[in-house]
Amino acid sequence: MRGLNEHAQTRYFAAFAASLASAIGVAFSANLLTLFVFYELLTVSTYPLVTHDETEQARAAGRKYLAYTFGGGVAVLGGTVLVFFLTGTGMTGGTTAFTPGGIAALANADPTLARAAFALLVAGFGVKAALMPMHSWLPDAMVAPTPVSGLLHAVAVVKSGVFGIARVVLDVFGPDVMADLGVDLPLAAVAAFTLLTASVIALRKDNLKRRLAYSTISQLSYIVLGLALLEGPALVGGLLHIPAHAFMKLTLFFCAGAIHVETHTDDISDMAGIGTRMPLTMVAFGVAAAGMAGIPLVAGFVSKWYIIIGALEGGSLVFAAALLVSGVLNIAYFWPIVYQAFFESPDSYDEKPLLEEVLGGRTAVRADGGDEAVTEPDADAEMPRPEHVDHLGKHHEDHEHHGGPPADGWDDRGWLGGESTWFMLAPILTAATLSLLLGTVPDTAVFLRIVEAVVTGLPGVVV
Amino acid sequence: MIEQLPVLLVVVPIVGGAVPLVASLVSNRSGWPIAALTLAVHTALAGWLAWAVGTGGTIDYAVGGFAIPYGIELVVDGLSAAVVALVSAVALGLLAYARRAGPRSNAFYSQYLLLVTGLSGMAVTGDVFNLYVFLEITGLAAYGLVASGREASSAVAALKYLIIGTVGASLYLLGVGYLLAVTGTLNMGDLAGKIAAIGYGSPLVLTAFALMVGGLTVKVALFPLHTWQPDAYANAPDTVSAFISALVSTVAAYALARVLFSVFTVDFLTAVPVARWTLVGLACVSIVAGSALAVSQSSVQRMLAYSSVSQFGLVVAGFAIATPTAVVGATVHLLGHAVMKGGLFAATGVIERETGASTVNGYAGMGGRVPVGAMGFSVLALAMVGVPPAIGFVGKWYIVLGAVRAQIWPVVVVLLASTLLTLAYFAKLVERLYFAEPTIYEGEDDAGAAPVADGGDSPVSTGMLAVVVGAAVLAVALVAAVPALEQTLLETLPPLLDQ
Repeated sequence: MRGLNEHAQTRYFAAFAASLASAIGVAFSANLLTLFVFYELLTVSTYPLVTHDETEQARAAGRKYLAYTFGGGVAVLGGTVLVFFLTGTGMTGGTTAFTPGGIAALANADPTLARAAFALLVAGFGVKAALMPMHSWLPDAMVAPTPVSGLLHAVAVVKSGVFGIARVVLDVFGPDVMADLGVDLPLAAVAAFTLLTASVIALRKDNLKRRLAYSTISQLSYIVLGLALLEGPALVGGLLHIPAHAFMKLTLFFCAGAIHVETHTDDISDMAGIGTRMPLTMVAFGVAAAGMAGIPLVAGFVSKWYIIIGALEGGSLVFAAALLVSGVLNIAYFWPIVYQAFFESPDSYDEKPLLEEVLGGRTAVRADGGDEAVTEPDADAEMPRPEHVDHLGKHHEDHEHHGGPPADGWDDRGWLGGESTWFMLAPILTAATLSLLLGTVPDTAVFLRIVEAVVTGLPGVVV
Repeated sequence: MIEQLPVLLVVVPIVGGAVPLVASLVSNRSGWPIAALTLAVHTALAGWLAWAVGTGGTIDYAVGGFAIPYGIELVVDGLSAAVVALVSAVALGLLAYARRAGPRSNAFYSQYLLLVTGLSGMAVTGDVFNLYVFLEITGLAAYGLVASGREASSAVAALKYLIIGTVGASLYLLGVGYLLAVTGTLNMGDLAGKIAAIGYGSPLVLTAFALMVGGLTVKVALFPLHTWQPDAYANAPDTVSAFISALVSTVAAYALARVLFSVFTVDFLTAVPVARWTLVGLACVSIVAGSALAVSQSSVQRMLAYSSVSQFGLVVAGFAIATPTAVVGATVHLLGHAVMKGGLFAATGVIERETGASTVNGYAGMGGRVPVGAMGFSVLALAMVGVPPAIGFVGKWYIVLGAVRAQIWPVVVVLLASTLLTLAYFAKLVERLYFAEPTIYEGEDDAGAAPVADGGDSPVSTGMLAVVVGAAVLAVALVAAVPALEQTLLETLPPLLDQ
């Protein structure tokens, strides 16, 4: 932000600080109503960040963001009122205070209303958790500046939604009541559908931030799926995936941001050979991407391992299969980025049929009607397609290089940090290192122990 | 002394209102200090009264010492005390706005104080005919104030308001006549008992209910009886818009609640379900239709006026559900809406004077040029949408909780959806204020706007900004007063609600 001399920095940083405060408020809330208050404040304080660019596209994304998240907020409010009503008797007040294992009074409540309350709460939090079909604000919100996408849309906002679902599952309804009501299976089914579908969509996204957005949608559903399986290990895995995904996705977004700032490249098809220009960044990217796919030694492996164990213990083979298939899809959409960064060059790269050809693959006609823009990055200079112009579009790309490799190929900046400033490299490498630590020594890194303590605290759940 | 407080609340402003007219023989600029002094006294008395009711319960006063129920009785319970305190505080606060925004004649301040008289009287009275008298005082003062704008459209708006408002008041009077014919009394407490004795199914009682409630809903401006409101709000001078939008419909809605709970009682609503459901249905339609009309407006002030139609739907829905929780919610939203809507109108005045922008498109990019006004507007707009922890959220929470406890699910859905409907029109404005390219640039507006810029004075005074900021702060800070209000209401209202 500061490096690029952006406009309206006061508003930006004020809103950023307010978002952080609200996110902390969400985390520290002791009951549903307080959680709702901060959940709404988070919406309000992130809106200026999403709309920061003041372009038509950013405004449209902001409108969509507000409409989706306030819609979700209304559902949460409805669910909260219902819980308050169901836990009270007649006109006397109820409670929405979080109780490990669920609020006792809900177990005896009218099942239909309890199901309605659960559906409202999960749908409301599911908007920010980007459960399909309520996910479409997330890719659009990627017009925001990269730090916003990274910190807020990979961490604070989406995690507040997932966190809300976790609270609802663990501390409001509790695994036992959920199983009695029969609401666990639908939630798991939605999550499994989301994680597969989002992965498939991500395969065909050429804009790096958009591909990461769909990857986020998919990974968030791992967490929700872990929670919905209601098995001890799955709960551990789901909760552990919250920090694990945060570190990995932060690395990925920081990488995307660094690539953007340094080379103004946003499209994956322009990134062939970028490994020589930004070696450290791309190594970190590779590490985090491997973690996303669940390769051992990175954080993602540990959490996914627990989720799959949980799925198998509960006998839900379908969900275990969905997790494995999604892992393969993760590799399918992340590996080409890493591969072409190091093993291809702007002059010599392989065809990308999945990206460029029409669905079905019967004909070699270019997907965008013969416009060579996708395969020849420099032709892009004349007419950047709307999705190529992100938040810097109107300020810089008019008079600067338009993304993709320079005419004489990427320079070789070496492995000592010549690729960017250490202000950008340090966070990237730190986040990547943390995700490695979480994957190699999970018992020493605190998160697993916290999560196990949380789950063993639940009555009736065996880890 | 405490027993005399209710009557003093009426006497002080009406006497104060006569003074500027006399004083204009000496100076035509003396209205403001006189009004300020009067309202300061009024506010102190109202605060005292609210405190007394909060600690000691309901206060009665027999006007002129005539025995109740033959004489006029003034009754102040938690609900009336809260409304009186609101009237005083808003009237006093808006004086700071009126000092620069005008109109500046002494006649204006006389009418202003007369309006305060009418509003205070409606809030404290315990007599249905006396309520009509104050309703008319309020109405006449409001028509005059709307007409005090300089454009011809103000006169037309005032005429429209006069005709429709008088029809509403006449309907109410007709209803009072039916009640008098059937019971022989006008005292609210006395009426409640006698109506119950006659039987709620009596055609005369039903007719009286329909006429009185119908008349008051005109004054509240529920859809489809709202047509006077947008014109009156949009064409009146800024001070008047803020004042009447904050108070006139609010006190009319209070009167509606008073008629529902003190005259006809909750038992009537239970015994005649069609009355309750008609009112609830009307309120729900009002919520949806008001919002839909608000979205389609291009003038910001008209949008705010239609927003009132929608918000009063919420309030009336809360009153008609008539459980303690819902009534507390309706009261909180009634008071909160007054502060928020008054503040929003004040903010539109500030923005228009500063930049000439008065339409939705004109608001584009004004966040940078009118930072205080735009920030106040945005905070108030979000509070109105019901973003916690603002007062708009608290009121809605209680009303929704009341509806859920009464298990009226369709109403719950409408109430929850009202958040999104409100968002639909306010998000548009907030987005334009901060994230759009300006359509009006500095210097362009001098010809059209700022007609009051007399000699070098900035068109916007610190006092005006203070009103906007104060309303925005109150919209959040009032939440702290809700527990005390709930306590007082639940102490003074159960006799009304649990009969």
